[in-house]
Amino acid sequence: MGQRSSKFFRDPIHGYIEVDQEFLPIIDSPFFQRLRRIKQLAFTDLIYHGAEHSRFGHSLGAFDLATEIAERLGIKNKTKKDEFRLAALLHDVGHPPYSHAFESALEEVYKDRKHEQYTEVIIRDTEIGDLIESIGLSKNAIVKLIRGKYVEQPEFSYLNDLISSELDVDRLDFLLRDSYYCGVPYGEYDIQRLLLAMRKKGKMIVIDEKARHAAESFILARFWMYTQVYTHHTRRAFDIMLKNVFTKDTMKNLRFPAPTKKDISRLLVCDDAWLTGKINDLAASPRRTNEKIMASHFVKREPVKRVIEKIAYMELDSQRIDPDFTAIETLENFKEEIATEAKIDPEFIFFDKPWKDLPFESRYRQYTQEKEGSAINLIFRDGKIRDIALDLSSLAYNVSKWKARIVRVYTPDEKRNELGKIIARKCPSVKNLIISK
Amino acid sequence: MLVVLLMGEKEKKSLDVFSSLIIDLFKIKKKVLGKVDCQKTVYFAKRLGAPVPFDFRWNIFGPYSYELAHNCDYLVMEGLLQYTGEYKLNNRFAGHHVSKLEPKIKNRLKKFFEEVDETCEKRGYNRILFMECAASFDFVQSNIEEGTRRKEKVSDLLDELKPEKKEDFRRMSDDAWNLLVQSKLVN
Repeated sequence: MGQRSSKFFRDPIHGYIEVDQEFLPIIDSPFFQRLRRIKQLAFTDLIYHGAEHSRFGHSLGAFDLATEIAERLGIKNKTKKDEFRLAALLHDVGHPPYSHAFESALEEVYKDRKHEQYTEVIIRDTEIGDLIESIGLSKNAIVKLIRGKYVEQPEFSYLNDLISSELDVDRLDFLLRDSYYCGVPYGEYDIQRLLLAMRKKGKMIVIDEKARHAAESFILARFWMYTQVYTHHTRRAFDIMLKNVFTKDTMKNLRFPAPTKKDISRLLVCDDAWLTGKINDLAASPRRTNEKIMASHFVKREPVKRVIEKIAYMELDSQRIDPDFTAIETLENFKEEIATEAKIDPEFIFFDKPWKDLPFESRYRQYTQEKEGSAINLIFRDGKIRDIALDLSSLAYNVSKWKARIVRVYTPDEKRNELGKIIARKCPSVKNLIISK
Repeated sequence: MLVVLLMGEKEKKSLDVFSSLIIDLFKIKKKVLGKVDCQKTVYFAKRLGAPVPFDFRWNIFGPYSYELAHNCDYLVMEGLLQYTGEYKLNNRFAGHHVSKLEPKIKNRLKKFFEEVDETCEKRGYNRILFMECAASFDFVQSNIEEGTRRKEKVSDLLDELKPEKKEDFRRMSDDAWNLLVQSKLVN
């Protein structure tokens, strides 16, 4: 039997994904296999039950797109091409259990524990790094590409953007994948048209103007997925609950590894099942703490409920401050008084601003005359290049001038009506925003 | 009506770590001349030891953080910052702010931004462009192999990374590099 030249992974989004023989040991390594046990969308399957897909599939999807883009752009330097493909494959390898949901909880307790830092240590200091070097590639170059710091060879600096920017392999894959598994059509766009129209002009990735509609549908797909899936009120409820299960006190007992060479091997067991076990343990603990109460609600799938919700789209340039938001934020300063009157522990009144702390941008970049920031650039027949958000005839021009703002107040279900009544009495101006059973 | 009553009171808005840091930085720097200047100000704050929670990536204007841009937009929407081409702090929120920055880092930042101002004044540089130049020099020098971190090498790379700024950056390169050396950002 001759040596296999590659292996195919059947993927529901991209069909067969071909992986070179020399990359297979990386995929088979324990750190990469761990991604099979980390759901891409954390608790979203508690709302959209199909959303049980993993970071493993998404990473392969990003790799496949990187391969296709590298071919289309005609990258001849095999080393750079393969480093770019591996950067796409490994960009999420350091995600903690339950992805961004637990990452937010970690950040509340520790400084410097972002998934990018774990990714960097895994690539530099574990067998993955050795495997990369054994095939003649640079682990440093891959880390730098993932972190947007590859400047050593300026002619390849555009590869930074293809790993993370407005139009990158990460977003190109996760919108389609999340949309498919959630069973919502909002994230769909014409990926083949977009890839066909992709070119390199100088150090910039541009889209042929003829494919403007495909670029616009990509931007709208992002907007809809963020509003309908990623910031869904029940998903956010579980994210909030997780943060309140793992507070400073309980986080200490987890002994979650730090992103260091010494600690990183302990990350191998830290998957979704491991964290679920910890939540179950807390729910069963004999001490009646707030963390235990939250864990018990979690285990029974009893999300905290919205008492108030305000969603508005605001034009950034207008400098207008909506009085409803001011009113809700002022309420936050008087949480204790309201809680006493409603006979609720103030720690069980949660103020949430989902658009503010998203680990990824909420929509296409905002209109700015200074043009700073990565962009989706169109190239016109005359060779001129223009950011789609600054092109007056583009749908994105109007979409990008607005920013969504959401504020929600949550509390456990049994206290929801009582809290709503007290807020309505104390603050009649927000009465119409109160959600009751 | 609770809210109406409260609105008349002194604001006691609870600030998150980032908002608190932005107030500190804007008070130290005094003038933040727009979005590019803001990005580079926060970038240098991070490099000089301030607890900035964002990562910076290479971008057309040098180091850039989308999260920072996103968060600044929210500070404008929430009224903490005003943006009219320049950023200004809203004193209604910032007036009573108690700094959480370590005095040592605060002094380091103060000295750094004073040095930037002095250099721009003395040489007649555009402040935003000089900040962009210094930040680009710093980003490139700190992300290339240690043994190659020389001014000439960084200048050559920047010529290729930002050809449209080649002349300006070459003109400012000595001052930008000296600033980095004085601030101990270059080994």
